[in-house]
Amino acid sequence: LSALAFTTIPELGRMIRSGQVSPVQLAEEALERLDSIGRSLNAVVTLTGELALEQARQAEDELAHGVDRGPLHGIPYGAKDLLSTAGIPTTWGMEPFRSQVFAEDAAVIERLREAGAVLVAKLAMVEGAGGFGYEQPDAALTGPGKSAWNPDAWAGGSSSGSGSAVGAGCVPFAIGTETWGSILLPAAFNGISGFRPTYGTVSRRGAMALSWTMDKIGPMCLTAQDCATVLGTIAGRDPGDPTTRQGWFEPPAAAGGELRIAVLRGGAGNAQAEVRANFEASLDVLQTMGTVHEVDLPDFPWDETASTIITVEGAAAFEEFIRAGQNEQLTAPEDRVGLLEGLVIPAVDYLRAMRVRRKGTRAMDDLLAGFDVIVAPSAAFVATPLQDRFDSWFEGSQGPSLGAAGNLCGLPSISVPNGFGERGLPTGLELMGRAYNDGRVLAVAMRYQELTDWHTRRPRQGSGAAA
Amino acid sequence: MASKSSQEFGDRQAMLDHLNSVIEREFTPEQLAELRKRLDQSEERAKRLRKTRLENADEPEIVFQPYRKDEMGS
Repeated sequence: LSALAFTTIPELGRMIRSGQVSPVQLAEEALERLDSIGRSLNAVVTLTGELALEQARQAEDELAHGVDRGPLHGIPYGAKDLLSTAGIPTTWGMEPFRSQVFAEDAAVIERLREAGAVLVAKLAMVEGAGGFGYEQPDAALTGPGKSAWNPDAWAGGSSSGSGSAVGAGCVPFAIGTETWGSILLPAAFNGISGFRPTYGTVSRRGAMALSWTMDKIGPMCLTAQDCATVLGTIAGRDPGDPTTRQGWFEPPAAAGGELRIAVLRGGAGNAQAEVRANFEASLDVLQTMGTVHEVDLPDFPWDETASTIITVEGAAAFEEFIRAGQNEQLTAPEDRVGLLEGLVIPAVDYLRAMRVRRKGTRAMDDLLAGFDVIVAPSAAFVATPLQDRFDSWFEGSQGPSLGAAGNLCGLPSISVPNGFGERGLPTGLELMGRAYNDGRVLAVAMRYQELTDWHTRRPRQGSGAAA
Repeated sequence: MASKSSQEFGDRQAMLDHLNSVIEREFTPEQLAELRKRLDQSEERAKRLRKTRLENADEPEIVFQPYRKDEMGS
């Protein structure tokens, strides 16, 4: 393997500072891997070679002159292609926006640049971040995202390219976004660690809006510790996003002492046998860290509330696009009528959803106040076959999950690898915490990864098999 | 004028008629079927949401902040 592939951020930092590898070498290697492996997985929209080498040379020059911008200095990364980048196309994964170019960088891109990180690629995503209601993997202008572990399996969405590029060792970290599942699912399907921060922790300025009250931006990395490092850089107050505040994110202190861990009752009940077995094995590990208590989610219509809000806010955000008939050019046939229903949902229904949401957030906080984290399988199944439509997988008998409630309440959550299932594909463990307890959730995940080695397993390049 | 409730808009056909009144577009039979499915889902969601009891004092999870540039920054 190369120096870059599957090397964590602190390891790369040590290699850079000891002179073992230079930022330019890392950028060149990332660009090469993305161009070959990344493109074969449909993970890449645009390689930012010129910018990357310029940033890498600057990082190298600064270090030579004693200027060290911190843990991301000289580290290459990829950004989901809904984050605007000055002078570089930002497609939102949508054919009608193939040539869209913004004049300014998104806040996240700005922060990473200031931290010395090197942008090597705009990464593939499901068109419109999945808001148009896609029902199969082939719903992106770059083609269906393929799992780093098996090109015949879906990478998950909507941050497909961010998940598979990290999972295949093309970049040590990537930025993804989540409105409902779009970081955690591709993290699980690609065997990596993906973190969804508390809503408002990371500025949304310069990011495509799907749902103003539910969109979150977060890191996708090899380890929970790397997620904490990246989040520490991108979190914070930004006047361009009034929902952000200073000081919400505190770097994780060691999760020592006896933890209180809640387990979602029935969360693994309808999962694939291997997913269930891996989850039970994870609980055995968690039991060595503290006490485990089975709980139910408060009784609220979580899915219906989240769906109503996303549909209406998405229809509003894309109203001109829809009215102009541009959605006719989307890749997935079902997306071409997506969000239209949001134009005719009565305002009173949207407001009812927001009123239910307020009650729900308080009930969830009452539950979570007594625990460090609540856990469940990240998904009830491994990455689905690339040719399969979702209805046979995502609808029906999945049982309770943390996805709708967690996203609706804006709660921090992480998916970490916890084993392998059908066809040698990775499975994931979700750990979710109370609002603003991002550091705590990360600390528990880091402790879990100290006790397990699933996050160190890598796909065999080209073979599509687990190793 | 008060908003019409979803009960008044009620069935799928009424919503489809309303949609046709706000957007000029010809749909293929497949698109129409997909649209009908989604309108049905919206109506089902609305029914489920109406089962949660709300009081007059239950405000939506929206916080309006009066704006002052010197206080808010931008």
